Amino acid sequence: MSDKPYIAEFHDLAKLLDKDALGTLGIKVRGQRFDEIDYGALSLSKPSCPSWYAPYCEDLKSLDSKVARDCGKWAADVFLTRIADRLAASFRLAEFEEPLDKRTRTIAGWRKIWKDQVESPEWQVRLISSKEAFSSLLGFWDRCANPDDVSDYLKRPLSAIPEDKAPPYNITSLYSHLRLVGMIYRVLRSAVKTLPAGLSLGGEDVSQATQAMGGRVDESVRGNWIGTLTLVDVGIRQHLSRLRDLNVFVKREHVMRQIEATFPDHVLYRTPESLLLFTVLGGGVEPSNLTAPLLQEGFPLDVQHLEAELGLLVSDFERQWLKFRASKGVASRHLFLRQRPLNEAAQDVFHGKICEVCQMAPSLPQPWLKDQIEEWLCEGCTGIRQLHEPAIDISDWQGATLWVKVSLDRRHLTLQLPSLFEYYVKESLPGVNPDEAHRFVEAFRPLAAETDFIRDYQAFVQEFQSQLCAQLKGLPTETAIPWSYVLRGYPELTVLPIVSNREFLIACETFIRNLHTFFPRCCGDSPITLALSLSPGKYPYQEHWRFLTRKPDPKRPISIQRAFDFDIALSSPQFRALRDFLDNASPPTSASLHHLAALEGDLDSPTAILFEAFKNQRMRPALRPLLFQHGVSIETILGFYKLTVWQEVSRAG
Amino acid sequence: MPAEIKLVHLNLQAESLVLGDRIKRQTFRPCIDTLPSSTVAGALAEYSGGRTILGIGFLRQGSYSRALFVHSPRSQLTGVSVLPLTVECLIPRHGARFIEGDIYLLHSSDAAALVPHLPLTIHMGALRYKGFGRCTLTLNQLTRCAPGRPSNPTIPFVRGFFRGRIREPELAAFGITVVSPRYGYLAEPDPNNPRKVRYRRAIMEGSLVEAPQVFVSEEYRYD
Repeated sequence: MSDKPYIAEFHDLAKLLDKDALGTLGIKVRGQRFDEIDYGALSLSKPSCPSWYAPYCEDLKSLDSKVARDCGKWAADVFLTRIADRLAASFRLAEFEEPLDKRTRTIAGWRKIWKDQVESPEWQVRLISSKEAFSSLLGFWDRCANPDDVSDYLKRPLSAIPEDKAPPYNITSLYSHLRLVGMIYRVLRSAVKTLPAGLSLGGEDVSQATQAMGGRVDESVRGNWIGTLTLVDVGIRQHLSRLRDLNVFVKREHVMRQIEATFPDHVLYRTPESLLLFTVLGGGVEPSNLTAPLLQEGFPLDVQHLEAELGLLVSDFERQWLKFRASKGVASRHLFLRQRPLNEAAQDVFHGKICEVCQMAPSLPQPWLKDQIEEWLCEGCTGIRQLHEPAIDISDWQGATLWVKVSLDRRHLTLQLPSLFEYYVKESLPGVNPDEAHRFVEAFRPLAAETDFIRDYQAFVQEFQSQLCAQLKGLPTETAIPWSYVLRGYPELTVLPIVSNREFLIACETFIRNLHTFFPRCCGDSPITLALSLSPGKYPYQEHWRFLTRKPDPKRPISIQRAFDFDIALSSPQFRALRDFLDNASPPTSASLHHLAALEGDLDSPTAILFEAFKNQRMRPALRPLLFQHGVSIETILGFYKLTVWQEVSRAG
Repeated sequence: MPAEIKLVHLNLQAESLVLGDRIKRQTFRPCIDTLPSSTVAGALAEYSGGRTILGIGFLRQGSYSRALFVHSPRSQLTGVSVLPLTVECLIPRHGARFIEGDIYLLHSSDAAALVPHLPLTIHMGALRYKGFGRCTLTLNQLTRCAPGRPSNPTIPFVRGFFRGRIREPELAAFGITVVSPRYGYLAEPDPNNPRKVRYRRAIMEGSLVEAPQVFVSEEYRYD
């Protein structure tokens, strides 16, 4: 038994079973444990691996207990699995007296709270209901030697079956839950020391789970083990003065990937621009160990860091911090939220030239020479430029370009997930009163849902980019784009040539369509935003970047800039209304819109503009819904109109 | 944290400003929207005949907008323009006459000597030969900063995110304690060769500091 590793992911294996169907075959599974099955009588072979004990975590509350003795030398692992399971769970039920009896409710498949329906309507087909499939599962359990094999072998059922099948708890996939439990368990396992009568972390000895984790946020029972969740936003210091400077994104991705490879269990998730890290105090690995490679390579970081007793550790930092501050008995408990900018600058003072790209280090003695222009760069920025020649297509293109960037505002996401969950509670329990719904939300822990969201976001970005490029390349010859520029490992950024001036429309439509597909419930208030910057080819890249990374309004997730001219922000309904308005057979003329926009700037009075607009009989019916129903300003209408001038040309033709 | 700091609070009015980010040799030069201590000290030294007056400034949000200025410097040797350069500049917001800002000088004998000359005109930033950077300074008030949250007119010290740029050796004089820095570099005259500059490590916008409230853009809420 001992030559195989203990794999915590197996703790919830029973959730893959159709217990009723197996029960009729004589296979009795109680709770999460498989030890009541009569293996001999059923001609099944009982697994003999250490992971056999993982499901015991549900019952192992103390290392002094009978269950712990039953687990033998694996008791510590099972104990840590229990803690990891509590940390990764989407609900802290101990905090929460259930208003309705869960057992009387129906069951359902995995439901993402940002979607309108369950993920896989045939999820029950994925449950194991036959003796052969059950026997095969036992065989896999017995021989599995690598945690990654669990998610590979069982990926399809794990992605359809929820961690908890009773609505409204069915909001996390078993896949994400098992993965998180496995990662947290391994971080704990590598950090704790085994003592004769318990476990020790950071000098704190415990033998009971509550000793390690602590009580509810409003109780005085202190947890002795402290963990940290750290959200790291990774920025760039470089000014994008040449296309080669875009290599900085390749480098950033490379460094982040290396961190993930070095600390696979500490990095709970990674987006192209951020990391969520889990560490424990006294465990030998500090958040600074993980962020050090990024700082050494010159990336500035914005770090939010929640340090708390394990039982108080949740990923929506701000909500938990406010709750903690509002509760009594704070003095005896441990929860701190910190926000810090981090970057490094080695020298106090230096002579000579400063690097013109990062402005953080002395330049090399020799300038970077191109097109008879000298640039003084430091060693790091020179290295980035030499990574490879990334953008021949853009540099050779004589026409205008469209820079496209999709972004995720993670802080907005953590605020939004509880609201989405509350909406789902009211939907799945129609009779629930507001107080009960609020109590559900209070018990909600968004970490697992957040990792599911991030996985969807990554798929969304890839899909958006590939659909956009394919669609624009597939247009008729005279309007098809000849190239598209994408960066490996950074699908959030795409650069396209402007051939027909329709590219921005297709980009917006593709974004809205995919947003509706992937995140239909986020369309009105979206943590995912799209920024489009249109310009002549030689427009300063840094200025594109400044616009693309500007903090957007989640209510109006589409931002469009035309260089040297205007920038507008639109919601999905506003975009559709504007498109319909300008598709109209008799759209307003450019002159009348320019006239109104000039008046809007001078008068600064919406009422005066309305009177002026409604003088024009041709515009009145079309403008009314835009102005009143959708709240679009005249300037925005004009900006949008300018972008679709090709329509006017084609109409004139 | 010092017991008390005396500051001379000046109002600034400018018709246009080019506060170039330190990117050179490019065809586009972006503009920052704060007044670094190096820029303020340089402009005042120029006005006062080389006296060292420490100051830091901030532009008032909403008093300015950005515009682009294209020019083409000529080669001094051949008289031929090489490349057209686009410079971002700040101009008064639509309908306003001036860009407005606040400059805080550290109270000293040199700063005090400046006060009787107010209002005065200085030139700040780049492209002055093109007419940019003319600023009028008027006295707002002499003010004190003290720890805690005392009543007006004393400015309290708070923990928050810094909204300016200041060289590290000047931090203590302004009562700024850095909790977590966002570093950058600002130029300063090289003491060994006044015709040259050297670069001094500085604290930039977004650094977490404990400082007089007027230097902070957003107070820190957490632990």
